[in-house]
Amino acid sequence: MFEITDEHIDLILGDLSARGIRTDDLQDNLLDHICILAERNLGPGDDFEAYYRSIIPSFYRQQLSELEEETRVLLKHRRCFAVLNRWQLFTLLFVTLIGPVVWWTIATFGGELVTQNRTVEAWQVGLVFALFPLLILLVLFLTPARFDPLLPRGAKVLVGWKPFVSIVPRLTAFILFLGLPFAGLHAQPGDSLNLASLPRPLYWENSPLRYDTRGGRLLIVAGGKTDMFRDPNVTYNTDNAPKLLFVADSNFVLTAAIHHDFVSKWDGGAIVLKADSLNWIKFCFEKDYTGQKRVVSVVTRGISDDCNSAAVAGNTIHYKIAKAGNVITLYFSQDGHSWYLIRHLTFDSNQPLRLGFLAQSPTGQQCTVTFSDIYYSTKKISDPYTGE
Amino acid sequence: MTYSSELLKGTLKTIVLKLLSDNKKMYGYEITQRVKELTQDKIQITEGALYPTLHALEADGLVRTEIEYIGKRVRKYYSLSPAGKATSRERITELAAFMQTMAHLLDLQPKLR
Repeated sequence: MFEITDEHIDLILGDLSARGIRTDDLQDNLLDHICILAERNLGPGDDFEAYYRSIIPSFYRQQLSELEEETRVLLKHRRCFAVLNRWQLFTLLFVTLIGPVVWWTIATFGGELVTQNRTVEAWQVGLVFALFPLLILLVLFLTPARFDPLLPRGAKVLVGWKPFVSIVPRLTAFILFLGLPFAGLHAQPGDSLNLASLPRPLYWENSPLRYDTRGGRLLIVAGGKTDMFRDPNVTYNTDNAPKLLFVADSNFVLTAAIHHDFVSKWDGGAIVLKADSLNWIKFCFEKDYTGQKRVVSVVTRGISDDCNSAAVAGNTIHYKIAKAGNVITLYFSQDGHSWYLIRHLTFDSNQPLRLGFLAQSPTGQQCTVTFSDIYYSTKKISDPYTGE
Repeated sequence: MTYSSELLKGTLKTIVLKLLSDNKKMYGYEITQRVKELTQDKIQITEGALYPTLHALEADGLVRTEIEYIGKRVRKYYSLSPAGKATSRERITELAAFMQTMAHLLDLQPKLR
């Protein structure tokens, strides 16, 4: 019997590897097979290499790597890889590609639910659509056909767990990015954030329940019993409403649309200009003591001067605050174009003024205020009546 | 005369399962030789068809493997798992019925009406 040496084995393994056979299991099988053939068909002193070269073509049709290709596909699926047919692959691609589009739509819809304080519904929507693509993928991976090695080679597609596994963190990232179902982030006093339409970072004073800055708008959710007011009767001095403020320029014009649902008495959203805890202006859109949606401006110099102005019909209003030197002018508009002067006053301060946004719910459980169409410029207006 | 690979394609798994059910454990070369012997060279299983099939059976959990070292080389023995034994019986029954049907069909006997 021909004796196989280590050199023969090295020659076989080297050649198998060079011909594209790199799967250990297959190398072992072929090596043993070739060795047995040589042991049975060669005599002592025969040329092993010539024999090897003569028999190896009988192992394949076109090239030896065919075996590797076939075996690798089959072994991969044992290692949590799957063989899918074309229909399954197209379904998988559809789910993978359509997922973000579905998510974008649902997140937008869900975001509205959150804005309307319907967080339970938002969670339900989020969960259903998070599970939907995973369910489809699970059905695919349980399909018996994926194990069928007799599928035509052209119809086989090797798909691993990778897309299945990667879709989970990707969806999670997408959910976090869109803020659903964890809609709204939490903040502590002193935390900062940037808004594209404002020149400097904004800092929190008092914590909101949640906030959100998606889509260039600012959403602030104030908790219950939150307010900013220094009562002339000195019986009610409160400053616990969440505010997001930045250091304003010496002259500026800030406009923003304010929207909320007017659930409880004095629920409001406001633009705030603050020198310190005793000197500030709160330009508020609030549900007044009669239930009206009211334009209210509170100028505080130690004690608040509370001025109730126009009542409006809708839940959205546009506010403008302009500072020119030490003169402050407040305007409101229902359409964002025609502005009406509300208040015109001097406001002196030795320190930089901070400007920003506030939400409050003095008697309710919470109030969600959305600030949108935020524009800021360092313009110094010259005519308070035209605002130009 | 040897049968074409097209004819063998659908029956290779059944052949391997049957051989493994008749023998406690077998390695690749042994399977090819046993088939040649039993069929008097009419069926010759190529290595290119056998090893992927063995890997498929292993991946499906129908066969178990056992390794024996012969110097520097490794010999893999294959044996049926419990699931493989059940599948073997099913496949053989199915193939037998198929062969009967084919016999009727090819003999053109109108017995199936």
